[in-house]
Amino acid sequence: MILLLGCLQDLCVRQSYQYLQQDEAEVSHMEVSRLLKDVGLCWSLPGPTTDGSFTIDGRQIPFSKLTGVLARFTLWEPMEMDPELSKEDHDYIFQEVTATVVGLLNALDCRVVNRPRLGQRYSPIYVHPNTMRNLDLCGFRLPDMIVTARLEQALSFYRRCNQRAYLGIASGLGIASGPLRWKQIEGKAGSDALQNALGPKPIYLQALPVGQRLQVFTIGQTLLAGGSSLSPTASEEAPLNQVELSCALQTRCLRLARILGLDFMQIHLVVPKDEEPYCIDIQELPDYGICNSSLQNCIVTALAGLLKTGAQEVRK
Amino acid sequence: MILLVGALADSLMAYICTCLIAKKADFIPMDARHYPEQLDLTWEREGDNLQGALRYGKREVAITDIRAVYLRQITFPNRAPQVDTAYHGVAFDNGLAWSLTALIDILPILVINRPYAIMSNMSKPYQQRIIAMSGFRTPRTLITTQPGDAAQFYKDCQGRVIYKSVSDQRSIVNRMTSEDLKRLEQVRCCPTQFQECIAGNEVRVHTVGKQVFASEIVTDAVDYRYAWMNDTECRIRGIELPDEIAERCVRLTTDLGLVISGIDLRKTPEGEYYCFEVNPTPGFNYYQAFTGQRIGEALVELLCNETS
Repeated sequence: MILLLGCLQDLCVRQSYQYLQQDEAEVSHMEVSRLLKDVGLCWSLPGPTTDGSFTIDGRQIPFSKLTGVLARFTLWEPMEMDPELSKEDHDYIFQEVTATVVGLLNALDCRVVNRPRLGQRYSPIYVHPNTMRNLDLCGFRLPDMIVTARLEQALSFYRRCNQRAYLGIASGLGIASGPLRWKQIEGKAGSDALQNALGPKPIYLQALPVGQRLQVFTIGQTLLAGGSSLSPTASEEAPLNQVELSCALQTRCLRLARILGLDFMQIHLVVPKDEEPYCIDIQELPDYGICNSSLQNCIVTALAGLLKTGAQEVRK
Repeated sequence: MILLVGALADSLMAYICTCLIAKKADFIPMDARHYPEQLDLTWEREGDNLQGALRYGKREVAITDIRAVYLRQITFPNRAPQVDTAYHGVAFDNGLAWSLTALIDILPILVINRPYAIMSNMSKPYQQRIIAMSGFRTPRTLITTQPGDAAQFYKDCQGRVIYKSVSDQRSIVNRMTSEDLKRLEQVRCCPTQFQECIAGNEVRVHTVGKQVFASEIVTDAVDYRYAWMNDTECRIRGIELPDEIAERCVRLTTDLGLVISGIDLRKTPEGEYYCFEVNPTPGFNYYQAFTGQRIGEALVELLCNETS
């Protein structure tokens, strides 16, 4: 059985569920937010989790039946609980459920895409020293960045990167960094956006180098890439078409995914002409909604294949 | 310059400040609750260079002048959270905490301990797997939302069971009794961790770099930290660990990415060591008050060595 752990509103969970059902695979879906309402959990340590089980819709399913798990949850998802609970009790139970799910996903011996690693934060990419080292090892450069609450410092940095940057509100301490949405800012309008964003909180600015922008998805050993245009001024909104990467770049991306231990990874690249690629961002919860439907289908097919066959590979 | 991060009212922070003053070390004790009025942080990375400035009160220091960091706790400003969903779907928002933890994570200096390494304690079963890989025995454990499974575990362990939180929150250990069997339905509302009781004495080990300080705790209390609540006696004395166990403690600390740790062990009457938990921000002053061990001094020595 394949278990999809996440919300059906999530494109990846929904499409994977539909694909696997159409493929007549045995698939079940569980929302972490409804874990206390609908699902029962039981597992023991130390040792394998094969004697543990979860109960969903009144049906008890031993963990030994699981062949693959797609884990798509963040640590800040609201959870359905008794509304009478005090805030302290609500927060406590929230932490307990999260700690349980993180522990369980790391204990299961089938393939888990991706296992949540406490303290491993990939996005923004500069946060974790290991990630920085690994990027360097795989031949990726990092764009310059600044974290500040000072307008003059932010504007100075913005000018130095030729008024092309990604702006983010510095926030979030989760272990899984979640779908961080950058806002691209450019020119005079970008300066205005910068001034509006600055408050007492620091903002995050990352230089946006000129070059071909690519969104690369690695699914196990499969690599699929989307790009919009060679034009540096191409709109961010246009759906990405599938593009072919050079062998060298494919190798670098797959190596990075392997080193980071991510079965499913999204890496945002900018490849300047005749220069080493920049890594703008890494996501352990890839968001492929930016791709056209054909590329989306390819990603879902590869992901379903990984979930179906992954378990045998892991157990071998 | 040494940066200390934590609440100024914290007795451990006060103790370390006292030690640093005695050593005439240059340091800043920084309480993040003073943000943003008295605290401001800007940092940037250009290529491999990390630079920026930290202003705390009237003092401003360059990031490059910080030679070592001791992170006790990042306390949050006491104000209502503001959620800006324009750029994030993130439900909590403390810009300084993010900025500060990100910086402390990547500073190429001694940091005791880095925020990312501290997080393994957020999930006890997650940490228990790492502990087991280090070679320590770990107790038989059940995590469940199923009352029947909890009752069966109680029976299987012949009633010698404790329960405690799965996360690092409200982490008080309690002994399970037959009375608790009547309220097991409550586990449906919150996953609960049950563990087999291990006979023997508690041993708390503090590692500071490669130094090991072990204390034996003799008490009848289930959780010796709260022995005073039940008027139960609690005696703590310094002991020497077998070399193999001491080395394992240092290795486990390193494996978790930590420089200092407080490791909870139990030595059985047969001389075996079980490991329950690794605390990444140990309150070691409680133990050294009993044992006279110089844990704090070892920590301060580490910090000062980086500035000399």
